[in-house]
Amino acid sequence: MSMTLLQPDSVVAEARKALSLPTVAASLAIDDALLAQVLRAVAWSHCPCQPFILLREAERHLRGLDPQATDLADRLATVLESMVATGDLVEPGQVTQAEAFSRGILFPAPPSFAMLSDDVAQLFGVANEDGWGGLPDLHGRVDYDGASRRVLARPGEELAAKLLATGLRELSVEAWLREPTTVSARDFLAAALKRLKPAGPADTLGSEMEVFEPGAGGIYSKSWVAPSGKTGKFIARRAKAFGANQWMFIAMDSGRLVQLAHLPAPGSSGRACDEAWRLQLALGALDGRPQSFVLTRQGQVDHFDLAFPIPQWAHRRMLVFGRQVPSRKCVCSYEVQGNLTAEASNFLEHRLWMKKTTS
Amino acid sequence: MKSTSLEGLQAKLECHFERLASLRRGVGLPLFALEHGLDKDQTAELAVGLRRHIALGNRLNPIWLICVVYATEMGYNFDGEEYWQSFERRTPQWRQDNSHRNLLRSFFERFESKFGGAVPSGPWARQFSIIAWPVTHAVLPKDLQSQMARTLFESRHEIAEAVNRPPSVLGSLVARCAEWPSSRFRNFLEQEELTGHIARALLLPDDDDIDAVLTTKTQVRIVADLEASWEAKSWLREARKVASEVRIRLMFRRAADVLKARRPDAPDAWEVAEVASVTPKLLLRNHGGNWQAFIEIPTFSGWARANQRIDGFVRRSRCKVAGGEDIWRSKRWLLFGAQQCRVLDWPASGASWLKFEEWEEETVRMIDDECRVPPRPWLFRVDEDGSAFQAKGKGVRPGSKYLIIHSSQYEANEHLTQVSIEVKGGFAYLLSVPAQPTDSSSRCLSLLGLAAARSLKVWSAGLPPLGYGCEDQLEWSEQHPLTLGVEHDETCESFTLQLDGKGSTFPTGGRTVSFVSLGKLAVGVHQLTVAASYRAADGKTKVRTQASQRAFSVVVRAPFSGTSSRVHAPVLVVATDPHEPSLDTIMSGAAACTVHGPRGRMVDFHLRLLSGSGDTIHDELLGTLALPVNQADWCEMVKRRDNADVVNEAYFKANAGLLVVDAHDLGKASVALRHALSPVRWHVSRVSKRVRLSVVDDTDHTHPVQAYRATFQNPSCRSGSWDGLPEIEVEGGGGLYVVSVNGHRSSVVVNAPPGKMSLDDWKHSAPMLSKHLDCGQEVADLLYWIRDWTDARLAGPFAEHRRNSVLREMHRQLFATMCGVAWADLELRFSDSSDTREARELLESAVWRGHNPSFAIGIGRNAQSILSSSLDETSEKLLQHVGPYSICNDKWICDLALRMAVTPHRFADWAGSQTCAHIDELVNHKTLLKTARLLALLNGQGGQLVARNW
Repeated sequence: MSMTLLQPDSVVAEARKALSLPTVAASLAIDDALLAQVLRAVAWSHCPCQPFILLREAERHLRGLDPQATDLADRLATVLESMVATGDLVEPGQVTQAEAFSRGILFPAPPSFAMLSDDVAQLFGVANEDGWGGLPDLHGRVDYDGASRRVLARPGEELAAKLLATGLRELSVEAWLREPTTVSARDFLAAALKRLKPAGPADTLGSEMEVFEPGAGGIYSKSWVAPSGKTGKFIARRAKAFGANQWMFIAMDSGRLVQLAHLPAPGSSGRACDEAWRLQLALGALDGRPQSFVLTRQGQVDHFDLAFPIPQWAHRRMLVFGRQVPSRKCVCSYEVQGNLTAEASNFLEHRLWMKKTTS
Repeated sequence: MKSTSLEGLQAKLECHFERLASLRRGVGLPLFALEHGLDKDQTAELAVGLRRHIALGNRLNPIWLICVVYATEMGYNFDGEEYWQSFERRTPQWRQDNSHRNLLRSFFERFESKFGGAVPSGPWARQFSIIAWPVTHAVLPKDLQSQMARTLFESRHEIAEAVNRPPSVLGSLVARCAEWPSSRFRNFLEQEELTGHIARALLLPDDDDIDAVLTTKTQVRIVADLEASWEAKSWLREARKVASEVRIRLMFRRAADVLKARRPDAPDAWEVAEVASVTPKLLLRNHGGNWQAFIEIPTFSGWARANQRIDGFVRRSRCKVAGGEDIWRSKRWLLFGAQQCRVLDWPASGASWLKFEEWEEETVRMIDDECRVPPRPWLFRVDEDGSAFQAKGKGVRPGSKYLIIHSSQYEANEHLTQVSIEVKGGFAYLLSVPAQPTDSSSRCLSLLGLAAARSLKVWSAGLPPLGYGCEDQLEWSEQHPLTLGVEHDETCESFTLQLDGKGSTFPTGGRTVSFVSLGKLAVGVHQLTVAASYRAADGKTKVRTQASQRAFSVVVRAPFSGTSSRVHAPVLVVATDPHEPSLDTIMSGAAACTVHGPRGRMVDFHLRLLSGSGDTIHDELLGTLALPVNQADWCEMVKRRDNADVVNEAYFKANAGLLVVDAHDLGKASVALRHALSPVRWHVSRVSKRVRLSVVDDTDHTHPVQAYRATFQNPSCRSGSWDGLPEIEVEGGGGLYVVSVNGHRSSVVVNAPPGKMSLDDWKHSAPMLSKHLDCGQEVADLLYWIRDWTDARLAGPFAEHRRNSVLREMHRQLFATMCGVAWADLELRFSDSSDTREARELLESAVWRGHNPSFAIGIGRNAQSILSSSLDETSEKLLQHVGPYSICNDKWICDLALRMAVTPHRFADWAGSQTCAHIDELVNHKTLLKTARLLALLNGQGGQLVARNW
């Protein structure tokens, strides 16, 4: 056996082949689809574990392959977030053994699909050491698009029946979307206000606490500020030594914590940050300062650029309308076919109380 | 075929089997009656001839071989459920008594003695001593074929490795790979020689030296029948692909072995790789400041497939985990997937982590060798998430934290502090290695026998390894080339990679990261070292130190095709559809719970009803199902549920529900069930055989509570009403009870039939409504009644059945009024018909009678895709269908029609004071309403679920 030195491009090309990804130009080879596949392979062998372990391991295997890239860690984090949203990885609420693990731990979901229409199946879950290509009749048919994977039916093909026979688990689109019931911003906020309890002596702000105060040019990351001197209702987050951030809904008076409610609400299976973001969207809408999204037409497709993160269920719904694309100077961007633009726009305006702007 | 022809055929068959038997005797293999050599038409002709022969009352003895072939063909089509019924149905004059069945057995026994025919064996054959003959001679009956294909697919990598080995070895492996085989398939698999031959014939169909056990014609027939199923065909296609790839590789390797004069009985590399993958791994977790220890035992399934002795042993012997809970784990526990157990006492060094109930010296020694507890101290690297994984070797990384477990105590210092660990029999220390070494840190490491490693990182580049691995072991797939990334500091001049004793040196050329491809590696365990050479301080001499060297073993194996991890304990993924189910939808089966996990494992489903304070007021085992649990399994289980009164009482008291999925040693998962309680509601109780209803009023109001009732017989007419807070004793068999106050409303359907009820009583209690209604106001009233009956909770046995009868009659009356009596009759015919095709065609033709029929057919074809959870979207799609035919061009009227057709129980509340006006509007759009109704009917119960948020 011979050992040979390889250039990074060749290593990436071999990895893409092994991970069943199509061949692309070397400059585009480390795309989100590759990052997602590497994360899935790492998840298969490392889960259940905290997300940062998956990120660290994936980064380790991609180390040195793109010497120019400085944002690999951020890109991996974004892709992992999308994978959790699409259902590749699930949190303790959805699995047994839940008692042994804290929130934030990720588990691989079984290979599954949801039929978005008669001829489009959204795949999710982590297949096995063989990958999707190891499942009969899926070899070469999976369309990898960032963290999303789909299979299109061939003419006359009963795709759902075939996927079921292959051993995949089927979830209805509704069960896959896991959308909460539709409520108005006012009702949603009213329910959250009811859950606020007076702050006790043990409830302190602490140095790690940040509250969300819209401003600073509407840039999400810059809107997280220290709570000192603030008055009003805020969503707040606090970093923890191990695991995910702790999220809260709080009422403050001149920098003093008056009331608080931990997120997610008791009995909810949703993520804390998803509930917090939805609350902030409601707060903004009722304050007359709704979060906005920019709609831009480019040929047959429309681009939705969102300046504020949306909950996972909303991300899944946006995937039904179109596809996620690299964010364009915003928090996340989607590309939607022209005929579905009105519906997607309507969804963001009515379910998340966002405001449309066009460019 | 005349009797004489049958006798001719008998003679021909005797010649055929004589010839085959002489060939088969030479290789010591049995003959099967399925190898009769007749084609499909000839077989059919034989069957017709035999039936006529029997019908004429002729003797069977002269044509005994024909009877054997006939019975075998029946066995080939045997579905595992019933043999004799099919046999006797297809053979009309066959005497249905045991003497005839025994006669048939004697014919098979004659076949065995005359031609060396196969003899049934195994527990199944003992239990079904006659049927076993034709089924055994059918070789691989059709219903077992897909099990065979699935087994070959699921273990394709392991099986492919053995495809060139003797048939008995291959057959034995296939038997071990079959997960949860049916009893008959297990019986088939017990014939290892035959299984091996069939497996080989299926995997390598073009191989020309595989007709030793079955004639080519028979094999071709089995393969063709197997491929008739899409699933089996695709499984087989994948399995064949892997088999042919592996076969080519094995041929090259065999040639290489000959060239190298390697011993053919050298240890099996495949098994060596599998053995290396079962070593238990210790891990520690920080739990509230205390450390807890866990031992993770990888699945033994890979090793069991490679080694029959291990397979048999772990299947029949229970085991215990040393240092863990003192319980015997079930047989096969080590095959279920990776297992994780808490360690409570440190076992003695040199002991095995596993103890077995049975004793088989050689096998236990083999397992012990791989599962031995290493001598302490143990070093664990602490990860950022508070878990620590065992590290081997003596090197520690600067800037990292480690835990050291030892049986004796160390003296603590600034780098080494004792920490609390919840395991008896040892001491734990936290070691902090500074980023920059100091005198004290070097002294501390030296005392512990450790050394800080110089920065030399090695990893698999681009592609993660298969298992979790550890610092000294990397698991890799035989399918992919392995490329290593090597990172070193600037002073590194070159590094040397040595794989199984062969090395290559690579100058760094100023790089700090290099990538070296090792190509695809053969299955087995390979030893790899990476050593870096550095420039010495004078810039000229090269220095190679142990601190700049990494050594690890690379375990190369076939990828695991199962769906649970080999290295981590499996978890069960629970999903509900819809996502947030209510207690009502779960209990009625409208919502389903699916569970995915290791196939065959059993899970219990418990329904817990909780009071307002969160206490459990009822706990019921809904049932136990084998994984995976799909929607159909769930619905079947819920249907079987017993609606006892005690459940109902608790149900009316409950404030919330909890569905608990108990997977025993795999843990539990709970799904919260919403239970919407109206501020005013009924409480149902039973007092000495009488059902009593009382009103629970949690509203803050001064308005009087109003309650009314309707009977099952006359469901849209008040038969009694009460004001205030009534306590009612249910009379007259029960019915609908509605309570309302200040805009809140709640209803319950109580079925409380008298103790004895004749058939006539039942008939008279059926709902009876007039053919149709006469005005919009009457329709509006009916819609309110439909709402009350639909939304009602249920109490008492058959309450759901009786409520459904009422709703069926109400819907009939509603659509007879809106669309015509003839249409309503067709709806009922469609709902009740078992031949839905004809009923559907009648319905479609009645949608727009006298006009273009393709319109309704088009609607019918697209019914599933038109209806969606968005009314707006559904309405838009409906408009696209009806617009071009000028049936309706107004989307708002489409909205109305869809609401009336799909969710009539919501119509009146939605329309409010406009109800009558909307009804009048719809009466003017009968074709549109019928179209919407067609959509609703074709989507059935699923449609209701989809439209639940309209």
